[in-house]
Amino acid sequence: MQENDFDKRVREMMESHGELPPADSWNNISSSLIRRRRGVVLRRGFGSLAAVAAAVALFFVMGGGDLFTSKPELPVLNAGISQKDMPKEKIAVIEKQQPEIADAGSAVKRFSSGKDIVADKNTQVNVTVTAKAGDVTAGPEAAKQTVKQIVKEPAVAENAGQKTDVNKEVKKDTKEKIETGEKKTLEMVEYEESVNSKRFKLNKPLLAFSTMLSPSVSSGSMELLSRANTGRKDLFSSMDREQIPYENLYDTKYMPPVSVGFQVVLPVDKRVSFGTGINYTLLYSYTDVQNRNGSERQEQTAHYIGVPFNLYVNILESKGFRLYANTGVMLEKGLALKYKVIGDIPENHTQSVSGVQWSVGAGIGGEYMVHKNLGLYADPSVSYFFPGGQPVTIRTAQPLQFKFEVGLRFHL
Amino acid sequence: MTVRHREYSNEKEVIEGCVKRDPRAQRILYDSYSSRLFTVALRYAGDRERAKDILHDGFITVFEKIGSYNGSGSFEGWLRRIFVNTALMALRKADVLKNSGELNSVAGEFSDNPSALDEISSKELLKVIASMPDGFRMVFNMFAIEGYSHQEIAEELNISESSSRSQLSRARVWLQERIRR
Repeated sequence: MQENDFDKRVREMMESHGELPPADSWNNISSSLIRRRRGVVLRRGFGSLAAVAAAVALFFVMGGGDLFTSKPELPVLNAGISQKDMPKEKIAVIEKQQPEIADAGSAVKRFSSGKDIVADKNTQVNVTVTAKAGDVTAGPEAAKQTVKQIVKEPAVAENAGQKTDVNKEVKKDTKEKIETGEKKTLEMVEYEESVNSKRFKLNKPLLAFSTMLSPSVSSGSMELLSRANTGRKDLFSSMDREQIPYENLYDTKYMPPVSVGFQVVLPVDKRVSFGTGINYTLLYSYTDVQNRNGSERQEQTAHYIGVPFNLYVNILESKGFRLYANTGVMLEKGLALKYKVIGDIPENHTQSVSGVQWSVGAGIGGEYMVHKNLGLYADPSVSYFFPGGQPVTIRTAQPLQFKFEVGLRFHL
Repeated sequence: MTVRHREYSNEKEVIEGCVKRDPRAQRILYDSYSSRLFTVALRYAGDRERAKDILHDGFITVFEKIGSYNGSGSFEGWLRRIFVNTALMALRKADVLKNSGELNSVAGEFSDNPSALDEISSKELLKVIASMPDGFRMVFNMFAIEGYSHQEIAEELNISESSSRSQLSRARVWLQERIRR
């Protein structure tokens, strides 16, 4: 045998040989990988904090902060009660608000600059208080004069666009009612109309709480081995094991994603509104692994938190029901990925999820007003999830997902 | 509702899964190649304990660097290359490469006897290779099994090319003698 032949023969024997590594090798490797990722997580922690801060800033820039600072509307109890019948205690409370009343005119001017609709809301509250206070302190005639004075400011109304037109109509209507002897404030008129018709206050923000299911069906799925109770090693005969290739076989089952969320919807105009908020999604799957040596089950639970950016366009509205189209994008960040291995060598570990998950979606939804400020809605939609280096979940296995979101909306 | 789905049906998908750092893909890769790569580690390390460390470090490197595998050439070849480099680095750290005291203790010449390797199993051959003197073991593994040239070996082990050739010849004789015993 020549030297080259000797080398070749040795090479062939060594390349075909597989020496079983120690049983704990994988555990050690897996633990080292987790430790390394934790280091990455700490470095990226600052980035995540910056992202959260940016989201909060965006929320306030979009006017969300006014949700916490706007003055509360007057008590509903006042509706339908003339000022003459108002209890003395309530009159006293209103009188205390008079320093703010002095600014009602300037509030109207701020509104005339057309900055945002929330300013309009504040203005209306102040105007109402003015009328009430006038009614209490100087009699019904004074209140009538005050409201008239506001309505007679055409320059203010002209610059405010469509939003102003709506309010102008309300004020004119109120003026007519006051002139015809009805002693009702703007707030009362608005409230009564809302109750009577359950109309949507499309120029006001909403708060929405939702839950979502994605009953997706994966195409091309297949069962590798139609064997019950595959988690048991001793169910394999030696003949079965011979037929299983050296490499592992995997059979993964995904459960439908479940989400819960909170969203603030801010009006853009009479038909269009913008919504953003935060939601949490749970993705669960398990994989049965089989090879010649036996089998095990690996469970994976992924936790995601996301910020949606949605646009809603009203299509029709009728008697407390509205139909709308929606579209948007969502940015999600994986909080944690938990693994549980059930088999001869059980193990549990948690690791971070790098990168972010982007998705786009569109759908048609309906909302029914079950109460004057409470709507029940359902939004079936279709979303596409961009892989973006995310761990394997149902979203990477099947990026196009059907979603069904239901929830409650509180009309502020 | 349960969705049934099969994933990682081929090597390419496993590699993509490892690039995404999916532990399931990493486990598949480990299960698929650990035996053959542990053999590589044992051939270079000489003992199981050191081989175990090489296996660990090698797989960590594989999972960290797998994004740089561009698909050209055999993936197993890429893995082997990483493990050989990991083994050489570990042996260099342990100062094993300088230990060549037995190099001159080999006498005799290479025999043309064809039956020597036919009478030994691959497991026994691995054991014999693992027991070779450090210098012989490095050069023989790199030249005869991995296919390195003498120039590459000389650069890698920081020895001359003639020294590499000499050690290879002596390593073959040493191995043949041990196999015959």
